Amino acid sequence: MNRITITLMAFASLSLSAELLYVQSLKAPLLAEPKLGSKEIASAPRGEKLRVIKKEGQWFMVEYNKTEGWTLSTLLSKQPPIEKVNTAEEKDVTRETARRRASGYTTAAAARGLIEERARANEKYRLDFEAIRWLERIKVSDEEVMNLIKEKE
Amino acid sequence: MEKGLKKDLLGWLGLSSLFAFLLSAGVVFADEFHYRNFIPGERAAGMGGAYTAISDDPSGAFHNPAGLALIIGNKLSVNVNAYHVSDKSYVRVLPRTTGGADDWTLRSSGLVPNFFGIAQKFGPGVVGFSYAVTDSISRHQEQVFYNIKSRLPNRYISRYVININDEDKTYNIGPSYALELSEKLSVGATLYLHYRSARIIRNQLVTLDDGQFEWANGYRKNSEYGLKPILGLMLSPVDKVSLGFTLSKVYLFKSDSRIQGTYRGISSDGFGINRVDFAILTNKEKRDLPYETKAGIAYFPTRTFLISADLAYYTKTDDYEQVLNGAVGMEYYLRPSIALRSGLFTDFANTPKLKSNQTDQRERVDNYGATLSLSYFTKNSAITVGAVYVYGTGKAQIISGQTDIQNVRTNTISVFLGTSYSY
Amino acid sequence: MKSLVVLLILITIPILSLSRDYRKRAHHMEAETYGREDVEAEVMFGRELAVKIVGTYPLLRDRELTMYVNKIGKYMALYSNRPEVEFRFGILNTDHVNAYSAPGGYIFITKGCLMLVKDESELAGILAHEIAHVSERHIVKELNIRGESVVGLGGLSALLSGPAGTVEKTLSVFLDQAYELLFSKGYKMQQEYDADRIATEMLYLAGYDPHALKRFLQRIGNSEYRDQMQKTHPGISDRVVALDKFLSTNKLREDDGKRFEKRFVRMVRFK
Repeated sequence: MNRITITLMAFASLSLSAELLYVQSLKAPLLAEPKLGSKEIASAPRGEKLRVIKKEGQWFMVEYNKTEGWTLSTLLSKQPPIEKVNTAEEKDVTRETARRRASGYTTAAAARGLIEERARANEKYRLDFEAIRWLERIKVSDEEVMNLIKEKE
Repeated sequence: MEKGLKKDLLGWLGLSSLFAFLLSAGVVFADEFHYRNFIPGERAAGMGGAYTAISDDPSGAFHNPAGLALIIGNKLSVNVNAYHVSDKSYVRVLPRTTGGADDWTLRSSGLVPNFFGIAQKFGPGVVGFSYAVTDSISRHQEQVFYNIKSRLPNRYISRYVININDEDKTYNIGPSYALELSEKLSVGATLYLHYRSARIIRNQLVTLDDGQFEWANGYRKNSEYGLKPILGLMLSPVDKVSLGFTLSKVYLFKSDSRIQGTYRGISSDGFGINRVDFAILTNKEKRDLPYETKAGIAYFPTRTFLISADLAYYTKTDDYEQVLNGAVGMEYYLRPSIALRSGLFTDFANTPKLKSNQTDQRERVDNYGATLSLSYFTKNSAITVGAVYVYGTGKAQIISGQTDIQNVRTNTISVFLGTSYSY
Repeated sequence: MKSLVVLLILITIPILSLSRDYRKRAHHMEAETYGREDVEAEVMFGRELAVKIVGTYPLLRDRELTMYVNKIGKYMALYSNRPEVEFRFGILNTDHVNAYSAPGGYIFITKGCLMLVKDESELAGILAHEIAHVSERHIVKELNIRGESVVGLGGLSALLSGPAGTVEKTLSVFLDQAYELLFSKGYKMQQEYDADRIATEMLYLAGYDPHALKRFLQRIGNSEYRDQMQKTHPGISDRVVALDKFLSTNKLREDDGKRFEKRFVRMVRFK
């Protein structure tokens, strides 16, 4: 086998490595069949790593703790779960100046000058920052949320 | 068209040793003797132009419009600039009185936009608009030769000053549309406006050992307008394999050429009379350009590796011979954010082989190219630097009216910088 | 030559139904992952859009009711794949029947819509449908909302890639597009089907009656409010059919989860 063949095989193996996905939801059930109503074999909590064995539409057969089962791809993602991103309140003051810009568009938006853009936008829509701030101040405790379904009516 | 034009002028002026060079068929046009002078687009350029079966970015408008239907993402734009340096040596053109001979060397350099294109999903298909520079030459020569043999008996050229300044650019600009008919088949078309603009300025002063001199100045301007439709087809017969086919041709609808020549010769009326010949010639004859058919294959074994190969065939026309060119290319991701590309290609001359005992034959230089590029990707953009090296070798008859055939060698290096952005 | 043609014809005969997924390169895969800076951009964008939504229909400032809706919404969001998003749920004071979601987790339900809801599981289903639009990044992907790339090459490339880049990327153009999506164009049909399916999965996993969303859609479909809803959520009857099929293939029964009808009636009262 010559060096080129080995190199080519090395290329190929790079992308054949097993796909690992992380649980993002509170928990992900491992079911006996790719059907929601089927028996739950195991349950993987948020942050756990699942190895994908095969895929059928949104159903993935995964391995977790040496147990194989079907779970929903919509509960998983490629990266480990990240902390809550809360940019709203903390950055409120700076963000409501005329120079406000969403970071994704900074360069281009700045080049055009967001100030005129904002003025134009203001003419077109009514903006109610105060209402959003009111909404952002509404807090509910994690405990209340977690116990919601367990409570009696 | 070239030949007819040249004979008229030369007949009128009377033949002189080197002045004919001004209008010699071999060098008048910048590089109409090759079909692959530039490779538009940074990814295609990195892969030696073996792109007919890939074409899934805005430069697909040029390489295979069907590929535009397969762009990943909603919208993409690509912008490429290239700086090129080339030298072209006609070996041992001017025999020295002391023995040996001097080479004739032309240099070209310049920064040119190579490609700009955007492609966007629109309705069921993808629309594109692009601008490609398919050829660009800014050639110059400022050489002085001493003690060159002349064709006059008992006379030699004590000093020969030559000054050349050529500009020749070909642009393609226009819209494209592509449609994915099924998961395996897509079609596309591009309609380019072909515009070519050339300006050729040549000056030379030949001083003989007895003080006689010959002076010549030529100015030539060419412009060409045409339409270049490109039809493309892309097939995926089996998973991970893509086949691409294209058909295109440049239909010229207008061509203008104007030559202004001033000549003060030794042999026109003799030394001392100081007679100057002057002529303006125009020509509207259009070049006959070939059909170009390309077939390409690409294999995408993994997300990090792909190889491709292309064949391009150009039909014989009234002006040019048939040509078959090939290209191979590969792309390998060193990391998900870094891709290395390389390729090899040929760019053969569309002129016939030079025959002995004939004069004023067009030059025939076959080019071989190698490419290498490196791309760095961020989430929605990429920046690419790369280089294209082309080595050419062939024959030419640079001195008009003589049967001598010279060897020609060319070296060209283009360094390109490309950026792309997806929305 | 002839044999080459034959060969070409042979290999072009379709063998399997294939996708062109193989064309995706390593950097495309990389682009499918979202980092913290992307989520930040999404939240900032979503907030701007939310400001416009509450500028269009006023926010109902009923603290108790809003807290109740937030409890249910946040509970449902536990079953989404976006733990990094702080979901917020507001009530719009209008008789129009609809619900809206902005990227970054800003979700709104109209008072008119709430009045047609019969129990808590239905409300959970509606909120889960909107959560699914966010978790599936329907607007984020449509408009390619991204954070600043690490080395800032994105900006350079955008500028070098010509005038189209700079014009297109201005924030207000994007907000206009998103606004239009929410209030007149609506999401794509497939996105609606996906959101319905994901919402129903979430209902089941969360312990609510998995038939709740379908039941609510059926009620809208048969009501006078249908046309209002159809403006941005077309084909309600088709969606009910699709959900029915989904529920039966997954063998999901109404009694597979709770409805909390009494609690809902107690909590949701408009003065």
